[in-house]
Amino acid sequence: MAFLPVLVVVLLMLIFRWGGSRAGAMGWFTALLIAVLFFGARFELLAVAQIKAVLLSLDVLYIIWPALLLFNIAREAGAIRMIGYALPGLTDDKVMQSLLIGWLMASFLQGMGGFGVPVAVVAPLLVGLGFAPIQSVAIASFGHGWAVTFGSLATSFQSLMAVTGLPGEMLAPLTALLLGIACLPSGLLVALIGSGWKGLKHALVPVALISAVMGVVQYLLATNGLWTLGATGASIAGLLVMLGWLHLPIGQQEVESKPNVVKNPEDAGKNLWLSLFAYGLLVVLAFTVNLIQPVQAFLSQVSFTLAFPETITEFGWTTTAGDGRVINFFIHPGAILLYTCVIAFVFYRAFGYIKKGAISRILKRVVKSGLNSSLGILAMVGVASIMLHSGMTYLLAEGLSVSVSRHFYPAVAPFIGALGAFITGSNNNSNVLFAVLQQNAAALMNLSIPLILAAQTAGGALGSVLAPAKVIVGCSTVGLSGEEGSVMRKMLFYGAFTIGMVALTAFVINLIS
Amino acid sequence: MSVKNQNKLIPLRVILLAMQILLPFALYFTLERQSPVRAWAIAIVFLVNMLAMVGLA
Repeated sequence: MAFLPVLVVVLLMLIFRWGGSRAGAMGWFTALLIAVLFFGARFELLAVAQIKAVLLSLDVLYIIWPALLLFNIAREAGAIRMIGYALPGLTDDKVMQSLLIGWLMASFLQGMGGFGVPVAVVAPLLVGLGFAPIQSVAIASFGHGWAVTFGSLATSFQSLMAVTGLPGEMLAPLTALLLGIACLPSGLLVALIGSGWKGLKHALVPVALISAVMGVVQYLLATNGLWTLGATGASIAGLLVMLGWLHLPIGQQEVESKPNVVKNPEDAGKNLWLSLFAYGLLVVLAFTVNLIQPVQAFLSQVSFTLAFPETITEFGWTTTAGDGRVINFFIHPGAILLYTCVIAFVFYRAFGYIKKGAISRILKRVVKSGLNSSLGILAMVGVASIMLHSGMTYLLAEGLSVSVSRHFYPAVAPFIGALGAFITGSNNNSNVLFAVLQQNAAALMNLSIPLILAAQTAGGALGSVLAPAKVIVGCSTVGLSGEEGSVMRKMLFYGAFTIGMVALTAFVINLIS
Repeated sequence: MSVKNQNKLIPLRVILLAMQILLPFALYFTLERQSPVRAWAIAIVFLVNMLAMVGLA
């Protein structure tokens, strides 16, 4: 019974192809009924669970909406198109083109935007460069999988912290380690899918080198409190290393195709670096707010939370009284994004990169892309909160701890995370649904909680690229609408390989620690 | 569902989102003031809101 709300969400999304918000709402009703009928939850408990859920959701939505706003401002200014024009012009080597666009640019876009944007932007660019549509969707999807948790300005990581109540400092090291390791198979898969075994062999050295650099940069950023820039900073570092590699004689091989990118007339006279101003500014502001103590102290003065009473079910399951999620209005990653949006918009207008009347176009795009995911998050967090407060999550965790051996559980945890992401279409929702369950299971089995949660979110990140919701987006941009099933079948094998790598790493870390 | 129809539903989704966020806060302050009838009334509106989400294709 405790698993039924999750099962309902799974079945509705996978078999009946419902969207996340609709399936989440149905899952919420299921959780509500089961909590009342079988777990002895009463009105006050359910009310507290739902109010806490909204507070947690706001913490995440405060990043999603400004992130979408920033992305659409930069897109309106031509930033994304300018990157698309510039990158393929750097090399004629098809393997390197696939890595530059399908791996590094997709990861950068995931860092700044996310929410399906990397696949939607990169897949058509790859088709334009001569890759087959299925190849293009697969390359764009696998290329950015490693960057999902710390991408979208770390929305998924923020959710992980919010639902588990654990600080980022505790969760960041192992999460960054597992995702840094996942960077290697992501790059290798891009080369393999794009150019076969020959391409893989050709890409082995640069991919290993760039993966190591990106893994280290992401680790350093995440463990120093800059997790919002983890994927962005890492992919910028990766791009720089790749540019250096392309200038070496060894980096210029196998000329098979010439880049064939047609420039949009709107972008005539635009400068690549000026069009990227928004992202540069974001990096500067994030560093300023997070690393300069007086600025941090000044902006941290206004915060919001609510105090909640103790709740208890009729069967005695107790949730202790305490404050809900604290939202620091002016130092929150969402606030930094908002400052960036305002300054960047004024800058782009002043340089003529954004024309008059663009505001309504930008806002329409933001609302269109943000609405469904926001409704989905609210519903899914509601499901998770009801399950948590009524004791369902604990019961599931107890079941897992009995049925899976303690030594083997770290290898299972990434697959649970991946399943959650596959079902719900996002790493974020997977963390909301399963992170507390994994946390409880780890505690019951006396395993390292940060390791299991890192495995959860890393699995969720890699599983999210296989989700029907994201594959549909990719297919729709390259003329493969209606063929999502066959694309997914082709991607599942490779996806299992990347998740397996993370599972193996988590298993080994558990053994040696 | 066509893109046109999806666009028509945007205002409804905006209302649903606003209600999803605001109603739990209203519920919190009503519970704090210990007025159970109002709390139940808000909870029922919230349920209807959630039901509308299920019905939204």
